[in-house]
Amino acid sequence: MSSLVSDEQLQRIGWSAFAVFLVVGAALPLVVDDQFVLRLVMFAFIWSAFAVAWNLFSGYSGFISFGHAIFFGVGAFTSTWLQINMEIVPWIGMVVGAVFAVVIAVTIGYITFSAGLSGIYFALSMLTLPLIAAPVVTWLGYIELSIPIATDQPLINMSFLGIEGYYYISVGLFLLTFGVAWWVQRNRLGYYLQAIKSSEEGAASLGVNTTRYKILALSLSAFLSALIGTVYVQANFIFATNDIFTLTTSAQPVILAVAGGLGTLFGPVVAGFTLFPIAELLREELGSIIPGINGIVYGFVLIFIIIYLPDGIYAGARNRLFSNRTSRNVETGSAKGTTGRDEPMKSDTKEGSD
Amino acid sequence: MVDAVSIVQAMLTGLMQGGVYALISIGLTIIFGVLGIINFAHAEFMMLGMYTALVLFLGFSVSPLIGFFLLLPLFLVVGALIQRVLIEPIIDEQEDAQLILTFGILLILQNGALVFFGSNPQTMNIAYSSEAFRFLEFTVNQAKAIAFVFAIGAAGATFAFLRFTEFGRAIRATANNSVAAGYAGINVRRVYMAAFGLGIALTATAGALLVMYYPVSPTVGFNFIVLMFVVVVLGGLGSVRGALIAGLLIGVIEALSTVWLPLELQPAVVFALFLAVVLLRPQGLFGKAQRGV
Repeated sequence: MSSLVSDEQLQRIGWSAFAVFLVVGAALPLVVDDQFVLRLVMFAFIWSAFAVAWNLFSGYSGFISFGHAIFFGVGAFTSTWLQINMEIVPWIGMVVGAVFAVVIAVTIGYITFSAGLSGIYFALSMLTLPLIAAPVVTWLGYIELSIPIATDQPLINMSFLGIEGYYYISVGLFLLTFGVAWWVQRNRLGYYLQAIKSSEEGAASLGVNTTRYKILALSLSAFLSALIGTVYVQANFIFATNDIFTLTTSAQPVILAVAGGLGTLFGPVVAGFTLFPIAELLREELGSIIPGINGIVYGFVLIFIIIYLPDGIYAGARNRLFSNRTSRNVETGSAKGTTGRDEPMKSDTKEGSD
Repeated sequence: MVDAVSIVQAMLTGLMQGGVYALISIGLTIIFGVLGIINFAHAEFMMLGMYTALVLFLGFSVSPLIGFFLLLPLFLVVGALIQRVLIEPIIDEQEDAQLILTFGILLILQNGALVFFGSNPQTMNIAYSSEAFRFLEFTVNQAKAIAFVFAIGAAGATFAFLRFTEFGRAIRATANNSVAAGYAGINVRRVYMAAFGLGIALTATAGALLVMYYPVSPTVGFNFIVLMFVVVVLGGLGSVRGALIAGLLIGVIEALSTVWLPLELQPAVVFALFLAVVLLRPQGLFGKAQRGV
């Protein structure tokens, strides 16, 4: 079990690669003119940020949320509504929306966590939220809201003629989200979430108020997701209820974080810049013939990852490149054995069948 | 004011729908009870059942009531294969892995249906879907009434199968304690395959009944996924009899809510029911928290 490179070196390689990636990302609009490429990379930043925000709660704590579209959508809807009806600039609107998202997160978190819900019960509680929001928002009369164009003061109104403005805002938001996730991981909150993931009872018995830290993490995740939602609709110039409050939106961060590496810092970003563009290009090429092609690809990727590569593509690829250790139970810079599966003792194993 | 007639009428309609809810949920509860697997993609198999019955009807003029019997063996095999290939490798993994894997299945089935059938909802224009049985002041849609009878029949047959046949007993023994069942000479792997197949098949056949009066689209599963978990939890995880009673009950409650609330808020009602059930009666109506069928 010898490794070719030490963990510190691996860390350094990871951060160096990340720095190069950021420089390239920031310089891209100066070099590339192709609007299609710029849009693709911009959305890769947006969805990666969303995946990092999702991972910050679900990946670190092990409570899988299939309903983050509620936070994303509430942020997007609030800022758009305020912009249209109150002429409040999106910069303020997005914060108001994020606060609403936190209110929802605290409410649902308080209800579900104090009732001790986990696994499928928590997943379903979250899943249904956007599915309820969509008909309710439609019922209120909002099916589509066009973002007002106000390019006279582009920076103040977050309204740009070209794509570059949205591009840099997306990069900035990505950095903010990534920074928060990095900070959480190296702080008490991160350690507590890891403890909760490996054994919530154990953490509670050591005096950790698990409900409080789960709500805190969910709120942080919701806040960031709502900000990302605003930028997403601004860059698309439209808020469409049936595009935002959907499972597709909820699924995107789950897919990227799981594929990249659940509970890792870099994993969601790696998937966001590999898997997402591949799926998008497939949709671009084949979407008219095979309308659900990217969903099908995502489905197969999830199944493949869970069965063959439970630590995700980032850890899997890294270990194959730099060391000859097996991919399971390797320090990934954050949670150990990222999916928390240390072969739990179970009474009903399959051995009985042989 | 709402008069008594419309309340009774709603209860009657709800009872009829509850039969199908029960059949969908029995499949889910068997899978959970025997394999301990949470099948997030379960509603998608109902959707597949709906489409298969629709294709049989439109393409080959096969009545959905004949389709009901054709779907049973077909989806038994489909389910058993899926269990063998996809579920078996993760059967001892933790819940998050199961959730994500079955979510992957959901994505494939939903988007696959989109490829083959398009996103527009489709209905089956069958004679009895627009006819009604009448008595006194009440009416019952014929399709719903027929679906109810078939669903209750299938639920009863499943119950009898699990209780009185040799293989049914093997399934129950495995659900109870898979290790001991293995020692007793039961081929646990085969039981897992069969139980998963049976669960999928029951849900798919429920889809064949449902499509007689409910439009099908690739995302139709979302209208039922929460509902079926409400039924399963309320009935007690793994309990076939519990799921039957809870299915009927939820059908009635849901129909009653439409008397007072606008239709758009229907999903919110199901969600409220879900929260109420998991918060107030997580052990189910009959208080049996143990795994088993």
